[in-house]
Amino acid sequence: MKKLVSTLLATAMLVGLGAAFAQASSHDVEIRIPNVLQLRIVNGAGVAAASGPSVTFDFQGDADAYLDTVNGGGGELAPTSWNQFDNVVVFSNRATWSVTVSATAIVFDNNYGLAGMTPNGVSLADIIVRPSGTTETNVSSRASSWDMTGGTIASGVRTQGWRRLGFGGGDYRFAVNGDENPGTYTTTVTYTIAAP
Amino acid sequence: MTLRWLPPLLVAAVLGAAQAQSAGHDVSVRVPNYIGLKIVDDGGNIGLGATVRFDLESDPDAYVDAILGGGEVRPTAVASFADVQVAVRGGAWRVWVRAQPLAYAGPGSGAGLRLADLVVRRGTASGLAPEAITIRPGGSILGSWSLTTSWQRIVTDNQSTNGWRSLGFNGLDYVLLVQGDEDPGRYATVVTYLLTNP
Repeated sequence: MKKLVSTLLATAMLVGLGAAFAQASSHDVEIRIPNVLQLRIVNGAGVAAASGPSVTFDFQGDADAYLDTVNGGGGELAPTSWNQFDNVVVFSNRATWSVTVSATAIVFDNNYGLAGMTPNGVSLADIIVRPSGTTETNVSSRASSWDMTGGTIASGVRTQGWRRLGFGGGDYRFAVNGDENPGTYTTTVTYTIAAP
Repeated sequence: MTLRWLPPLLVAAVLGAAQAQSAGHDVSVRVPNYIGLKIVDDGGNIGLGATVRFDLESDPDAYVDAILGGGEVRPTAVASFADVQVAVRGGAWRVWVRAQPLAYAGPGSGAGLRLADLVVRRGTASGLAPEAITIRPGGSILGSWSLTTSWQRIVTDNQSTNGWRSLGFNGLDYVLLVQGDEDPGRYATVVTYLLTNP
């Protein structure tokens, strides 16, 4: 009798275990996609430079170019040099995005030490960009020119990678007409990408 | 004289009869026709809360780099998902997989990411392989599969596994394919593996 009870118990346990074995098993998957809105000023190698990119109009070093333009009634001058600034690239996984430009107020340095010299004739509207390059896929629009007073310069859709906006330091221009007081004028220009 | 010898003769006869007797009884053992499949943790226990996580919010550069470098992302975390094991006593058996539609929470519409962007490349990251006894000659197991909402057969076999045996993959073998067109936000699904014994 005792043996029969033991056998029945063992059988019940086996059947119980069998019933407990799941035929299916599930697990969760969680995916978190970041909000990517990135913009970089890159050098000729397509890499964001470790040191800051810059554009320089040094007419102290090339006074003739300045004088000739002024003598001709005014015009736009190309930069004398630019550094680590061959293009601007953007990356976005937002449905739409736009890039704006802004600049800090111009700072004047009377570096020649001329008596009573004050800044004159140079404004943010005199610093202009006229893009010479082409835009890449998913850059929907780009202004044909803009100055440093600010505004939207480009827009697009999901870029699916880094996309060039098609301008660099060599596309900057400085508009002169001869009313500029001598000295050094500096500003910091910022490009910003944003999505609605 | 006769009476004096009778009792010993009777005793001997009784003893002789007892030694020749036999008795029998039945033993009934019911082995269950069980089949089982379980996701297990590092300790070999059923992986409660098994999860595969791709948290690219905490490392956006990894997301950007992945898009530029071929578009594959490995999980940033795997919990309680060290192996998938099956136990089949006998007969033909199959393993199937399917997933729930992606649930999305974020500022966009959830465009750009599909279930098919979740791929299992068996053993590539985990280093696991199906135990030799798991898949016998004539059986088969896929090397990789993308997730869908329909049941998809990934294993076919016809013999007993003789116990719990590994299918040779775990959460580390999951891969997320990204292209950069994914709406930012959080996506979730539940993946189910099903063992059948037709």
